[in-house]
Amino acid sequence: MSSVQLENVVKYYDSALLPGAAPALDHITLEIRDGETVSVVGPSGCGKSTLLKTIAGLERPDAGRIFYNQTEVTQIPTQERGIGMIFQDYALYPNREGQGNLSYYFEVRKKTEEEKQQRLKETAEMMGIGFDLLLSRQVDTLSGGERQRVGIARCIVRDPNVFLMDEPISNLDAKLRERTRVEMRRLLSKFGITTLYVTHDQQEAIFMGDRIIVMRAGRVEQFDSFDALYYTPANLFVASLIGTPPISVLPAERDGLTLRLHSGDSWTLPEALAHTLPPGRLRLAVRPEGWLVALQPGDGLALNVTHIERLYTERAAFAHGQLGGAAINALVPLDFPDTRQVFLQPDWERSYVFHADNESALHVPGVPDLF
Amino acid sequence: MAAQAEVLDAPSAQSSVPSEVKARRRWQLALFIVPAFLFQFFWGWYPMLVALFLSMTDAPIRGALTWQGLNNYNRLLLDPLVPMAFRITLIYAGLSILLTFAIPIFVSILLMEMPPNVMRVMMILWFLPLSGIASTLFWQYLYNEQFGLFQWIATAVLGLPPQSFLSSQNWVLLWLILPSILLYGPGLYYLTGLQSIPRSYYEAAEIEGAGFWRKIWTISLPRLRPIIAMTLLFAIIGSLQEFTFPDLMTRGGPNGASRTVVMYIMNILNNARYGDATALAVMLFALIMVATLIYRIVFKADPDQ
Repeated sequence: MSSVQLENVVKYYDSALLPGAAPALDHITLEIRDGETVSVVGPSGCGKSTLLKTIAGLERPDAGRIFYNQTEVTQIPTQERGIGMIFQDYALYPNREGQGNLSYYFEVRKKTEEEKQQRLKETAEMMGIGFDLLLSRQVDTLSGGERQRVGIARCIVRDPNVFLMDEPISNLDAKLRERTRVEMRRLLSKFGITTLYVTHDQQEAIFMGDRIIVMRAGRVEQFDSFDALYYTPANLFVASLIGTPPISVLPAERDGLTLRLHSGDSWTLPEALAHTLPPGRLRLAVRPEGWLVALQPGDGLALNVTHIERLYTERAAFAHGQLGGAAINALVPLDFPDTRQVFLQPDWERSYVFHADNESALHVPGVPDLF
Repeated sequence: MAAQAEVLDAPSAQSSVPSEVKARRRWQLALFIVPAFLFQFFWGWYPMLVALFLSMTDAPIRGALTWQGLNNYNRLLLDPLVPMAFRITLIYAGLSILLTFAIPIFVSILLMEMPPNVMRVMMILWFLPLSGIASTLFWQYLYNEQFGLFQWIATAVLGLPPQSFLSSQNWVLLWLILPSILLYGPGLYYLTGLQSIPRSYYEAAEIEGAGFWRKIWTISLPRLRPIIAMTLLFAIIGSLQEFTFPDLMTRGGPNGASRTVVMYIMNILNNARYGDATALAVMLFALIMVATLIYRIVFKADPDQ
């Protein structure tokens, strides 16, 4: 068990040594608490895998320091850091059966046979029913999900301080992915090992992580719980990454109490909100549940509905259409009538306003107080 | 396979599609197979069978054949130059497999550890389309006993007495094989094979504390196994048939110390003993066959498949 801290970590790749090249990691400072599972999410190339490899010690940072449990490990080789890493392609040793993969570590470290057998037994128990059966099989005969279980067991068998997972289930098909992530969540809470979980899938990030790191272009945009990312995003990037269907972003301009869209239509802002916003160009962002939807024109703007998507399992429906140059998916009741036109107005308390240029948050709803 | 069978069976399942469609499909299939079969037959099996037959005749270039039975083989077995040629061929094959097959594996593995640019340049150098004649002339110069570069290194740099190089009966085979390390290299196959191994395999092993050699032994070599198996087979077959390079470099000398079986076949052919030459070729074929069979037994099919 251990906490992980990064202090101003910078990492450049060799190929990026040209002048003006962007670093893969740009002054990353963060702290992962002991026993916590943290998801890392971001578009491809944002540096999330590099972050993982740098924490693992597979890549050395060009600047900055890394601590495990307040002990600096920046210069300590990867094999002495006591980590377990799970890879997207499983990276099980070829030409070995499951058991051989688990015992590799004991062979490399020249551990005793008793210790090995003891740990193998404990691991098999921890991994649950049916795991013994995988151990006697050749790696090539295992399915993707089974390989990943062996991969996890290979890490657990040596009792790591930190678990690092690099897109561990994205090679599985959708159904298996669902099942495996439930299984992994169960195992992780059982082990209580500090875990860093890299994924490009926000759903997976939300499901796996106690907290979530959102990365873009080598920087941490925000590191917080899901609720905080959802209700108090630091900027437009975080707001549009988190949430399905995605948030609708409408470029707008404020003039007094009037908020004018590019289409020329406008809404009237509540006075309290209008005073907190600068005049001029802004970006209004509204989540599906943040619309006040009416069938009669009142204060709302007309939305031509292209279709109504009814999700019976979710007991909800979405009205899809275009407004002010943005795609809108407004949440409506499941029994909402089939109609070609609705009238929309943002629920101002639940809408987001961002700076037009640097996209930082000017107004966010804030995490609702549920209790 | 199941999907393929379904597609092929589909027309027959529909009653509206008559059986001539099926017949046409057979005809189309044959169209694909026949050229390959003809090629294999006329350039492979037919010459082999004819050679087997001719090796038991006097095989004159004109006029009627005379049946000789096993006389040609008897004559060859009594010729002391035949076992000598086989001995030289086996030594040559053994040495060249050892040097040109095994060394590139390790060179490739070391190259993979180099920066990508160095590796790319090496790959290009390794596979420059060198002219065989030009490089042979170049090596003849290197080995030249009066003006050669190697002689200069031996005498002027290392202070050794003048070396005989290609005219040394004991060392001629080694000198002949040395260039092929550079000229022939399955190195590119190994490099592409190594490049197809995901980095994560090595990273996983590093985390567990595996060193350089252990990573090679437990990851690189097992993953290269299919490529190694293929190049080894080609190396065995190719080296037993070696002819061009020693013929150009030494003409089989000194005193036949570098005369391989194929070169001796050529000698016999030059003396218009076509029956004997064919019989010796059949004997070489048998040797390669046996070597291939031994290889198949030792190097069993890939256990992964």
